[in-house]
Amino acid sequence: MKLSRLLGLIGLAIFGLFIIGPLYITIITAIKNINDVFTIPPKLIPYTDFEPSSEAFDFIFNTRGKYTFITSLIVASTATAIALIPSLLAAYGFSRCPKAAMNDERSFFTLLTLRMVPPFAVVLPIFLYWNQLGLFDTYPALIWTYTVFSVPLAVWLLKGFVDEVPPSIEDAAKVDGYGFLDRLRKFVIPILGPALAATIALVWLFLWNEFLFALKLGGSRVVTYTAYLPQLRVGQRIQWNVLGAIGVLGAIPPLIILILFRKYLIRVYLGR
Amino acid sequence: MKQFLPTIKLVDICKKSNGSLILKNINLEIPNKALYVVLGPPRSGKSALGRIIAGLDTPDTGRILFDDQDVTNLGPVERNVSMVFQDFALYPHLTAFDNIASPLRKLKLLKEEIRKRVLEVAEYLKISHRLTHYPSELSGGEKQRVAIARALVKGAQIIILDEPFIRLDLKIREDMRAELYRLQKDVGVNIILLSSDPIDAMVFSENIAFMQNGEIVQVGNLTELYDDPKNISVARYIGVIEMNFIPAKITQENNRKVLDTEIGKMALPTIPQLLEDEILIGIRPEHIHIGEEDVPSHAGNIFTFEGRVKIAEVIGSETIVHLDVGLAEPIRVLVPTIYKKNPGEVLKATFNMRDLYFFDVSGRFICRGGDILG
Repeated sequence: MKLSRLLGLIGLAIFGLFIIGPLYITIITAIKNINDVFTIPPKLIPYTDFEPSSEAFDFIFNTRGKYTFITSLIVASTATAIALIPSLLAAYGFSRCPKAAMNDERSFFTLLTLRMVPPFAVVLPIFLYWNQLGLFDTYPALIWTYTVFSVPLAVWLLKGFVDEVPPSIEDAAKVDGYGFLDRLRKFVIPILGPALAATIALVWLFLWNEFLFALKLGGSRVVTYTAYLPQLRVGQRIQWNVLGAIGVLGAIPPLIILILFRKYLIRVYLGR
Repeated sequence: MKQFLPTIKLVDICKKSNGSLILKNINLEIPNKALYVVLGPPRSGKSALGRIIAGLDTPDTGRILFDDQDVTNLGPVERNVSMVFQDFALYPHLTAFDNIASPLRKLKLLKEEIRKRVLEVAEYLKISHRLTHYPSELSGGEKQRVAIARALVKGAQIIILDEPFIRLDLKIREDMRAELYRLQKDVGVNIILLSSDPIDAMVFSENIAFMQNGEIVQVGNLTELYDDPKNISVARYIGVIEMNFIPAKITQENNRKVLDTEIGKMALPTIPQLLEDEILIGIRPEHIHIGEEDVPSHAGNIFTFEGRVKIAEVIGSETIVHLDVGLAEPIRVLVPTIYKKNPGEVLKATFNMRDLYFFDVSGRFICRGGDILG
């Protein structure tokens, strides 16, 4: 084996230790009963070290825990759907109308910087907004906040994809007699097709995983599965196995998305 | 599908793009029922002109008239114009059938009517067997045919083709040129061909407009552009192989005026007044002959020079011999046979001075050698 390959494998192994290790621990924690969680040394191998238990999953499905997934689903999906329309139009404009007012690098960059603002820097004022409006801890508050913070990412991704649709195709559609909305609906969107789906998936994924806004703008009436995690304690004791189980359940949608859109997500991350 | 075909008139068309004038005061009349070639090097403004005729762009100033109707502010559909794009612009998510049907679907025709018309035009363009395929499954020539079918199916009066052959293999280009010719004759539609390939001008030789730097330089048929090019650019562009240019000085020698060039001195009986001291002479590669044997009869005007073979490229059944004569560029000679010569050999070449083209230093055409030699 060549040295470079060996070094590469060692590097990957160290990297994997920090990714696969925690994943493994989360998964085995999810199938332990609470007493097996706290043993020292830790019990690592199911059926040998400990008997698997459905205690954590039973807890989730017998308490409000199960509804937090539905809340997450509603909030992430609605916000993604709302964000998509202005994002698609903006991306189209940035891509196709270079001479339009405000379409310059500065405005595109400004939009991107909105994405770079640390959520911590803005979460308190946003909380105050909604509180003043009397909408704190409601679906509209969380959905709208998610929508606003999703647009920059969606525009950025979609612009790259719209750039790839040859303008001549739209010219051809113009010659065939199709107006702007028809062109978007019948040509641009179908041609974007899977790329559009990948964008939707990625935006949705960020919202599904979001924690801070969910925690601060909701928490008692609107509780996403991420915001539910800190509530999992009995007295002083944290229900680590339930946390693990929520982690496992929460990882399923991202996993499905990664498998379905792998090809496009790779393109997105590699900048094509 | 007989219909009324307009004459297209462009009046004082100007168009700016990114701050520079890409169309400069274009005035052009395109006759109806014609296959009209707008020829010009890349970025000469052909596409911009095509888009304006199609109604995809509006000019900054000027008007477009179809016969006497002002269509300047009408879109492509109201003008009944179709366009075939350089990259064919087929809709990748639709089958060939649906691509061709696209303009008819917009017209909200009945399903059977759409089907009938698509099949008819597909039959005509010999793509009936490919209609269920997607563009990515079609060859270049087939894509081209689908694109033309889509342009044809709605019965447009005018079809503009932007560089239609540039993406096709040479053999397919010949087929498609023949197809276009047949189409124009059969359907009687106005075809405007935007091309940077001089071969197109030679095949469709009746109506040519030569464009350069956003201007129409010359309008005419092939013979006019070949024999009386307005300037060096036209002379250079129209021709099988690019014309040779040789700088020349007019000097006095024994009371005779003589053209002093790098390849020798040419005595001309009269030199018109308009000739300046320094000029450029042009000679086409097909007008130069190699070897002394086949000097044409009226030998008085024959000029002979020598050159060292730089390279002899055989192209099909012809050979282009590059002769180094001490100029920056070698002199190209077209030999109509396969002619093998080794680099370094010294050859004698001749041409008839009647075939010369004279240009002033700014590149403007002055006259032909034949005009001086009588």
